[in-house]
Amino acid sequence: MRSQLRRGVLEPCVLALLSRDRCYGLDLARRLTDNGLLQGGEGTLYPLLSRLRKSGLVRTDWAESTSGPPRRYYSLTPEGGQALQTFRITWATFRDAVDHTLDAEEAP
Amino acid sequence: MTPDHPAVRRYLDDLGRMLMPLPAEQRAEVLADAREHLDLALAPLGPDPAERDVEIVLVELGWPEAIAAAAFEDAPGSAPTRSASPDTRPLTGTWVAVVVTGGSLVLGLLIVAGTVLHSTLGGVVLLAFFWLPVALFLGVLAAASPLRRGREAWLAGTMVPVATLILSLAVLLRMIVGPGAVWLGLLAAAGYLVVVARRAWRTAGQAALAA
Repeated sequence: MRSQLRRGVLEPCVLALLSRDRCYGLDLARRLTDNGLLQGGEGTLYPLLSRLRKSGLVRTDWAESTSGPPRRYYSLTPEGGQALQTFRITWATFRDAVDHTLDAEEAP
Repeated sequence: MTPDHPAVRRYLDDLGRMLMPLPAEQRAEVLADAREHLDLALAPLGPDPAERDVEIVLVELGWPEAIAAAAFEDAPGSAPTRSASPDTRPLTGTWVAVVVTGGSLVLGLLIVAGTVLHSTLGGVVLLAFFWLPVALFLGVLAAASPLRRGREAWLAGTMVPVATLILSLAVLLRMIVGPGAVWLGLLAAAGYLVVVARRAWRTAGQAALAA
């Protein structure tokens, strides 16, 4: 149940991180792992990134790095920004509905 | 380039094996992503990283099983997106079942009545030139419908014509050896139908179990 919840919100969270700044895969994976959204290994993020790229929500660009091998940077496309905006609205309503239900349950 | 470390090679081999069910292109993509990740994560460790540090990087990347599971989940097309759409192939409508079943029943009654009542050559002609073509039509219809497949279609297609043929022979025999042959023919046709129906029933049962 918890992992399903996490998996469901992982996609918009990736979009949200990328809306602030472009990231390379490892960096993105570590950030999501640190804040507890990505469990089960950093590698489980890549299939999701690949899907987002194929559906045009993110795009990738290679960039040389001063330290180490070249990195593939992920950044948000306009469609990705739109998807994130849609999620923000949906999420606000959804979160309120869940909170409301949970609070009603707790009340005597 | 991914450091040629035995643990890394083993890891990528394991991952590649677990991704086997994916289409080749997707499989290569997931593997390339993992390699890219390892390149970046192992780079700060220098050209000859310690065994322990490599293990930590691999643990952070996650179990190959977990990555494969995520890849299957996110693979386009592998998700159950196929909704139940109505069958649009020809000869799959309800009318096929109605015509075959209803037609066979009516035909059976007519043939039995005809066989018992007519002992003349007329009965045989009626059977051979009228009922047999009708029976063949029903058989072809039953066999051609994609609702049944393989053995079942074969059984459905031959059931009515063969039963009709047996009765035709019975009428012919009646003229030669006497009325007893008709009852023998009816018995043979009924026996044949029972055997075939039981077999079809079993096949349907197995199909239902397998589904």
